[in-house]
Amino acid sequence: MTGSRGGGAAADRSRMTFEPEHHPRGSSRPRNDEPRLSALDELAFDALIDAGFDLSMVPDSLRERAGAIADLMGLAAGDGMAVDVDSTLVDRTLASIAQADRLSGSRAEAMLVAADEEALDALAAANFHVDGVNATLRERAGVLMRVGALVTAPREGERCSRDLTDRTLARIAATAMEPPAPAVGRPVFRRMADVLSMAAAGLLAASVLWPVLTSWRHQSMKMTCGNNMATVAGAMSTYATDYREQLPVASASLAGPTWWDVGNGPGRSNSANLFQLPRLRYATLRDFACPGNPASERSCRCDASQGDWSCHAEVSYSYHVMFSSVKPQWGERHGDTPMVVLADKSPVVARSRLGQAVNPLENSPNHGGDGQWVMRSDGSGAWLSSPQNGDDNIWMPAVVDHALADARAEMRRSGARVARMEFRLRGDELPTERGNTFVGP
Amino acid sequence: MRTLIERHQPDLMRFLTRLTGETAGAEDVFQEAFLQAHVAAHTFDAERRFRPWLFTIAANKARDYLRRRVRRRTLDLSAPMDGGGGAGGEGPSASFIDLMEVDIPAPDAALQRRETSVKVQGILDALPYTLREILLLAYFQRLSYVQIADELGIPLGTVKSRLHSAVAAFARLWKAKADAQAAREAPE
Repeated sequence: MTGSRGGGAAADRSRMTFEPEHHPRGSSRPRNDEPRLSALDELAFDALIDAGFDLSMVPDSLRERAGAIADLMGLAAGDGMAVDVDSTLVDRTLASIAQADRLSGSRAEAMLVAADEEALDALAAANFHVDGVNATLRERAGVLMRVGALVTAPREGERCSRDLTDRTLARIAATAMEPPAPAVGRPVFRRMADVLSMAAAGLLAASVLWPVLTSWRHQSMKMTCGNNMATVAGAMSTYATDYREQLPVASASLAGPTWWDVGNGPGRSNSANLFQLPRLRYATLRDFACPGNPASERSCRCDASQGDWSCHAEVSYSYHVMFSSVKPQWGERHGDTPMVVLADKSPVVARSRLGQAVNPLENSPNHGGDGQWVMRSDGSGAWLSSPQNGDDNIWMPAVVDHALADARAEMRRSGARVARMEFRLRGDELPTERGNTFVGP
Repeated sequence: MRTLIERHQPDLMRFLTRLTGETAGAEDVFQEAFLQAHVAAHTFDAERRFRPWLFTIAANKARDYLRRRVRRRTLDLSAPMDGGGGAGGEGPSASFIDLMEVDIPAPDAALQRRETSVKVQGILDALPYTLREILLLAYFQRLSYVQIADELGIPLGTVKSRLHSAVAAFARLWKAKADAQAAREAPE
C-alpha cells in the first residue's frame, strides 16, 4: 500500500476518532482526561505494528484506518512525511508501550518464594524486629529489613522547608478561626431597666447552670488530661524506638533513701525518670500538666533542662518506679493486657510523704476522686474508676497487692470483715515482680 | 500541636516523599494530614497509638493528592531501557523472587548515595499505589498484619498478600535495574 489516498492526510486523519471512555481491550486502565483512540483505530494501530508497518500485511478490514495512522506518523513507505510529526515519536511511543508492558508484567508476575513469604510473615508478627524472628528465618528477615532500610532512608539531599511547621500551624489556625460576624443592628442596652433585667436573668441562669458548668469543667479537664496522656504515650513510643524499647530512665540506681524526693537529683527522684521526656524534647512540660493539679500552671514554667520538676506538688503524673532491676519495656505484656506504666498522680505517695496512713483504693486527686487515667506499656490508655487493676493495685508494691488479695480471699471464705489494715509507704519500696505496677511520686 | 508536628515531621515527610515521589507535593499532603488530624481529633481513640492514626490519614490524603494531580506519567525515555534485552533482563519465567539471590545492599552501605536514592524512588513510582502504600506503611510503622488491617480497614488476608506482592515487586524491579546497570557497565 503505497499509493496516495485522494483527500490526503488531513482527510484521512478525520476518520480517526478519539473516545475518552471506551476501552474494548481492557488491558490497561485509562488515566483521567487522556485522549484515546477509538476501538477500531486501536485495533488498526496494533495490526500496523504487528505487520512491521507494512500496510500490505494489515487485514483488509483495518487497512484503511492503518493507512491513516501510518500517514499521520509519516511512516507509509513511499508517502514521505505527510504531516510534520516529531521524528522520534514512534521510538518514544514504542518505548513507552514497551516500558508500560514491562512494568505491568513485572507487577503481575512477581511473587516471593515460600521461604521469603514465611520470613516476611514472621517479621511482621515480630513488628519488624529481626531479633523476634525464628533463627532459621532470621537471615531472610535480615534481607527483608534491608528492603525496609532502602525505602525508609531519606532521599539524597532531601530537606523539607524550614517553615513547614509554621505553615501547617497557620493553616490549622486559619481553618479553626471562623470570621466574626459583622456587628450590625442597634445597641443592646438602651435603659437602666434593660441592664437590670439582663443582670437578673444572668443570675438566674448562673444559679441553674452552675452545676452543669461545673460538670462540664470537670469533663473538660478530664479530656485535657486524657489528651495529655495520649501525647505522652506518643512521646514514650518514640523514646522507646530510639532506646531499644526501654522506658525513660534518668538514673538506674537509687542513691537516696526515698524515690519521692522530687527535684533532688536523678538518683533520688523517680519523677526525674519521667522528666527525661521533656528534657530530651520528646514532649513538652505542658503535656505533663494535668489541669486538675493546682500546681500544673507553675509546673509548665519549669526549666526543661533542669532534669526534674521543682517539687512534688508540680508533678501531675505518677510513673512506674524505675529503680528496681525489674524494669518494664515498651510493649511488654503480662497475660492478656500490657501493664500500666503511667497514671494520674498517686494519692498514696502524697499522703505517705506527710506520714499519713493510706487507703490503697483511694483515687487520684487529679479528678476529684472520680478515678484516674492510666497509660499502658503499649501506648494505650484507659480511665480506671478504681486503682485496683485486676489483682494489681497501681499505687502499691506487689507485697501489698498480695496482702490485699489474701484479705479479700479471707473475707470471701469466712464472710467476716477483716481487721482494718493500715498501710504506709516509706518511699524506698521497689517493684519486685515483673508485670506488677507500682507508680510514684 | 507544634510539638506534635515537629515530632512527626521527619518520619512523616520521608514517608510522604516516598509515597508521592515529590517534596512539594509531600509538604502539601503533610499539612492536609495534620489539618485533618486536628479537625477529626474528637474521633481519635485515646486507647490507640497516635502515630499509626496519623500515618493512615496521611496515606489517604496522599492518595487523594495523586488522584487530583491528574498525573501524566512522564516516562524517562532518554534513559536506557532497563532490562530490555540486556543480560539477566526480566523474562516471563522469573515469576518467583528469592530475596537471597537479589543483591540488596546492607543498610550502612551507600544508602545516602544519590544514585541509590533515585533508583529506590524510581522503583516506588513504578509500583501500583496500593503496593507502594502498604510497603511504606509496613516498614515505616513496623506494624503487624493485624494492626495494618485494622488501620487500613482491609481484610487481614489482603494485607498479607498485598505486602508479599509489594516486596516481591520491589525486589524484582531492583534486580532488573541492577542487572541492566551491570549489562551497561560490562565491556563490549
